[in-house]
Amino acid sequence: MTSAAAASSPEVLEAAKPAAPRSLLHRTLDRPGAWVGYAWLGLIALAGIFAPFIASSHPWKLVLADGTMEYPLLAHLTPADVAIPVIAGLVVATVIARRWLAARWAWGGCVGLGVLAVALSWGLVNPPELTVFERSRIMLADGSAVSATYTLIPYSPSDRFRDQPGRGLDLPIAPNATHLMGTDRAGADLLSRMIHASRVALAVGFIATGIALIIGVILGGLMGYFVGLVDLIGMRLVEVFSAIPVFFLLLTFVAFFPRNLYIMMVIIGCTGWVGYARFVRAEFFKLRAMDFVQAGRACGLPLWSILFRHMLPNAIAPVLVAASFGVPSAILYEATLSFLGLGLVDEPSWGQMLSQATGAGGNFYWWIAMYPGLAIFLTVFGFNLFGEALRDVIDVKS
Amino acid sequence: MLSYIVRRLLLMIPTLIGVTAVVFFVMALSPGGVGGTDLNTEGELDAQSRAALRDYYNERYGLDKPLVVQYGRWLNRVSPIGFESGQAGAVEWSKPRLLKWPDLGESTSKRRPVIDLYKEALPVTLLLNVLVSPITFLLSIWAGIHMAKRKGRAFDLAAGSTFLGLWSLPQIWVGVLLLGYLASNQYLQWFPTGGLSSTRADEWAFLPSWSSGEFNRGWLLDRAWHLVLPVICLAYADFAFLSKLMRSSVLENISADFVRTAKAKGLKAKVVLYQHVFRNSLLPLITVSAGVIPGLIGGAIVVESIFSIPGMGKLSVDAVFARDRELILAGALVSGVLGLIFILLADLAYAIADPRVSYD
Amino acid sequence: MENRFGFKDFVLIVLLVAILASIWIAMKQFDRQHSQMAELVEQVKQITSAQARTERSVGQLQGLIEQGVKVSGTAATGSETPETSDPFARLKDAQVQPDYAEGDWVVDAFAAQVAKITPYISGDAYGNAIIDRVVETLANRDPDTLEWSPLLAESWQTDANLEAWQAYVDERRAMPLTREEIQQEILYEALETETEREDYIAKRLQEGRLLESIIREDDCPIALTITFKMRRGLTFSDGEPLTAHDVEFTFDFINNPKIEAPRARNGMAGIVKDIVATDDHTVVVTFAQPYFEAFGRVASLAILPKHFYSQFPPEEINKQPGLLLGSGPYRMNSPTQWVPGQPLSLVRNERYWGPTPTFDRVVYREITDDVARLTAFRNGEIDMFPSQPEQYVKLLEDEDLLKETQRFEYERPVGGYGFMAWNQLKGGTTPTRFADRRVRQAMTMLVPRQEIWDNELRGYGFGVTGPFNRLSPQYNQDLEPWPYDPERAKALLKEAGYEDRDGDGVIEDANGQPFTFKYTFPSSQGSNGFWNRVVLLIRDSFAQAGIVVELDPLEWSVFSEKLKGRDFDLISLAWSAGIESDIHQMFHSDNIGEGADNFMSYSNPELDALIEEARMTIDETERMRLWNRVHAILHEDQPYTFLYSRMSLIFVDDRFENVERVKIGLNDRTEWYVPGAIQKY
Repeated sequence: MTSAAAASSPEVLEAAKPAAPRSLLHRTLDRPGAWVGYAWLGLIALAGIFAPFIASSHPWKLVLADGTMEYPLLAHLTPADVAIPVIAGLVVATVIARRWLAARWAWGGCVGLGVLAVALSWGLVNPPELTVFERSRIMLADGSAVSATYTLIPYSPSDRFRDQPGRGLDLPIAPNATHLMGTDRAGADLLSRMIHASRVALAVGFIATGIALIIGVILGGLMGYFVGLVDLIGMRLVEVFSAIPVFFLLLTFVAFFPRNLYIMMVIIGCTGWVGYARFVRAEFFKLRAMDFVQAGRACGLPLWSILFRHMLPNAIAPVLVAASFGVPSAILYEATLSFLGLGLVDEPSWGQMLSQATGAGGNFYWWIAMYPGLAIFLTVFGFNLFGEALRDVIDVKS
Repeated sequence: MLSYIVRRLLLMIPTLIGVTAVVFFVMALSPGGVGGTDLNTEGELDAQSRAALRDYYNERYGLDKPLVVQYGRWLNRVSPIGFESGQAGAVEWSKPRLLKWPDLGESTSKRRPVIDLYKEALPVTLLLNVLVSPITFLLSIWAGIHMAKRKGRAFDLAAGSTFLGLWSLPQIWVGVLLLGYLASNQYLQWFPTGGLSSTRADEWAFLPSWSSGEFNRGWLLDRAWHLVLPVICLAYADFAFLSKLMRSSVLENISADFVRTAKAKGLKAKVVLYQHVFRNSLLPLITVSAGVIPGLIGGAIVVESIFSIPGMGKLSVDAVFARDRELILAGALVSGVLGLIFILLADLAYAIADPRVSYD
Repeated sequence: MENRFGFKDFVLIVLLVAILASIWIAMKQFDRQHSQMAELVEQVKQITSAQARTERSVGQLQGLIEQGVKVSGTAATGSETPETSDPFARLKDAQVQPDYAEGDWVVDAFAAQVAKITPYISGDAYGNAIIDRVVETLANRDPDTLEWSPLLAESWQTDANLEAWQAYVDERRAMPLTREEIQQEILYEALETETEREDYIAKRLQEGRLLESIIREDDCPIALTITFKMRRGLTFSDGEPLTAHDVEFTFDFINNPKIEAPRARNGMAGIVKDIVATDDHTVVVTFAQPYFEAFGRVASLAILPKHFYSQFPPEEINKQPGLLLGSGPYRMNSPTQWVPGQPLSLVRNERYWGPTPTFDRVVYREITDDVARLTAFRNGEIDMFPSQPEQYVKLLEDEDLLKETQRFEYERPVGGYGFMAWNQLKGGTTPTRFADRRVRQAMTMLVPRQEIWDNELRGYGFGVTGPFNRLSPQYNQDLEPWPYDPERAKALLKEAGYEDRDGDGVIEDANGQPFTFKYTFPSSQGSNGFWNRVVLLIRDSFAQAGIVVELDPLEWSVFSEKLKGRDFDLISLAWSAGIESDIHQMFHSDNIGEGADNFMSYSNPELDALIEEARMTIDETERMRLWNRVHAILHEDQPYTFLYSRMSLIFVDDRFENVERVKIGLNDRTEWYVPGAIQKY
């Protein structure tokens, strides 16, 4: 999922500009702020990618009383659980291949293998429809299993310990030795939910920004290239979306559609394209009069080729900076919507956790407020640090 | 200038139609009907009233008509120029009217005219904005200039990353923490948990008073006391953002030619800074303020929900949760008008501040 | 330099804005003073007029005494009127207490803003709470016995004409319908195509004459007549007498189609034929059919003053937020001026026909935020605080609060119940696996209800076995609740053909279709809502039995759309209940259809017949026997899984005396008082 933004940009950019964008990204590392950003984002990316292998109620290995072995963790992996680490591995492999083997085909291969991995994992990985999180604990307790090897945090985000009926009265439980960050109000382990929520947050951030970017670039490109009537109509559309507060639109749209993570991504994407469209339009305005565009047109190149192969690479830099600020704002939108109660019920989300921190009785549970809030803050901060560094690098150059 | 304003005002009309159309059709095309709940105070359904209200809404709001007709009827009702509205908002073509009061309809969930609800909510949100904007602008101008003056020094660097951090702080988190630590009975209970006034503030005197040894904080101070946390929550992010903007814009101007000329003339550093640099550095601030102020109205959604302040934001959230069509459409219209007007005002302010810009 | 904008100009502008703001604030202040002054003037006026009136009536009384007229002892008890007919007996008991004192206020809080307080037009529960203090009914439920006891009426007499009515209905039912008659029906005229019309005629010919149209016929004899004798000397709070004509006016008011009172109108339709005042003190009510709630519907009508409401056209009545005048113990300071957002404060009705009301004022504050409401209660700004179980448990740890309050935990006879409804006919067409009674029973046994009562409701919830209130005689006390028994449930499911056939842990039917379904529930309060936690518990419990549940939280309006289209598998909701509930709407097969409330398409002919019989039985013991049988059938059939009922948990400020538990819940606040020494306001 992280490949979309990373894959498309560097290659095309390099083709068109002397200042290679890889070195651009590289140069952000001169700034200490970017280091902090990279470090935190790397951490949550790892957490998100390997979430089920870090926190799960299913043990790696369960030895039954009759000596046979079971591997519940592997059995319960979902297609996404498999596909995400594979794709992440592919991206890393590709970067290495490009750098040391200078393989020009690497990104193409990466995308191809990625698609294949997604298709395969959706086709082959077939977790049981039904999950009973407390199964291994019950088996250990009644003696039908002898021993179990758990992951680092032996709780799934939706494991609410139904095998301990008395717990209901003490909820939420403050941090202790069993639950390092305590539990939420329904009794699930907060740390486990935090880890799994980082996947949701990153997915929403990148996919929503990706959608916004695609819409923004296409509309902005058309407006900047054609000017005239197209521009007039397009600008009205831009104005429509920038006249009302984005959050008001989001709220209305999200509340009116079924609760679904993918729908939420699409909605955040569809309301956030305006900024990108403006940037691309402004750049295309300047570029359309340039010689290489005229030449391309004279050669009879197809429109999409002129727009996206020749003009776009020259206009992409400011858009990329905007996008690096767009990802954290998409993450914030998701958190805020979940906070207001418009998110999903069971899926872990930082915002939804945060909303449980204050209760109807005027209670305040500090751990439910502190940890998810900190995670949102650090993620947004990390992206902003990175974006800031990227902007400085680009500014200095121009 | 006047013709420019008129042209801009006219251009607002298609935009506003677009805004409401987008909202209307998204609402209409999504599953679910028009709101208006029939739950009692316990959240239970009352059998008798359910039976009674079954067809009431269809009849009353003409929901059985095609979408385009419904939208057209709504548009006719709110437009100042149009036709009389009849049963269920039907357009009476035979009765054209020039200049009528926009009719925003009646809220289905609150069963009150929408216009009344906005009359109550709008001043509250504007009050918040009126408080927040000058504070953030003045403070950030000050902070920005000082950072620029000490460029590269410890103060600048520390302030730079602090401001980026402030800007990244999620409003929902800050709100919850303020509420939890400064307003809950488990920790410091310095501030009220929400609302705009204490329950009995209406019976108090306006100003603080001491009567028979007892201090009464009075209506004004009580209101201020209630507004502290929401204002902090609304202000910090914009403060950080604008300070950084001001810093970079001052820096840009300090190295400009005209500053060197002024210095060469022998003007004092202070005069150069406040007479020459300052004025020019305000320009980007004005441009951004067009986006900041509607942004505040959007931000009010979160802050008003956390602190239960009965403003536009809270009203929108209530409306959305209740699927109150009339209220949501009016919300889109009101915030759209406000947003466009602020953009226009910013453009005009820009022209006043920068003599190079002219709209004639 | 003329167009230069410097720092000085900036400061100037800020100063200007500040000055304008202070002017505005000053104006606001004047406004407030003015309105307070106006209120004072109004009050002085009223006190003067009240005084004048008292003098006048004392004079009249003197005249009467001089003439030697006997004032008391006019009560003539009717055949059905309960013996203890003094509605104020409890209040009078309180008034002879040594520490009893008039005065002080009672302050309550509402969780929502009240939009309208015009009787019958107002739809919200809070608006009705205010209206109930200001207008009165012919009779009310005695708080100790729950029997109807007279209030504005002093007695009533019931004359049944059931044989003649039944004979007519039977005769008409036996007569076949003619095509001409069908063609005159409204529904027929609404149809457009010829085939639709033919289908309709065929359908109608089969159905025959419907009861609801027979009772509308002119010749149909009246089933029941109730004659109310009105108390003498009743007045509205403006001094005008309350007579039988006001009762008649109220009925006409409700039935005026131009007045937006759909709820009340619907409650009367088809049941009450007419209400006529034969003289100033007699009201004759005629009923079109025997219906067990018939008396209650009329007895609980809030009587409106004709002289007041008839001066407004219907449009005005619909539009005005607050037209409120009645005969009750409290009144609005000004019956026409209230607008939403203004303080809701009722003052004592000095002209009240009964014993002098205790409190100077009954005040309602609108505090929408839960936490703020609690804070206000802690600060003593409001006098009572009904709490949710979770809150209540937390508050019990609060020593300071407990010292200053009295608290009550009680079951209300009007408390409702939460349920899970199993859809038997999805979308009205596709039979589901829940059409099998065994499956529904098994599902019930899989729901860990005890955990909901103990954990989610913190021990303040309890189980019910049917749709009636546990305190009502309708409730069949002999029924044992279904146990939480996963093993028995699995056995039942196996019997119904569901077992794990492919070893994946999920049970399948004979065709290998896995047992999965969607659980739709209202998510109105975001992720902290009650249902959000309960559904997770239920889902996990089903998972252990091999059933996969997909959660589907919906906003209320989408939710009700799903209900309307019957487009769900399992849905959760709560119904309110009454002292005697009519469950025809939810369980009778007549109410299967789009938008109707038997949304799970449950049908049992035996139950249908019993419900119909019970509704028409006037004799109470007999009717309760029928309801008990209805309850038993529902318990066996489990069209719903009855989840919980909850107790009311309320804190009341300690200064109030005579706050008591009675059968109806807590006694009415008109019976409370505050001893003189500790009065607060």
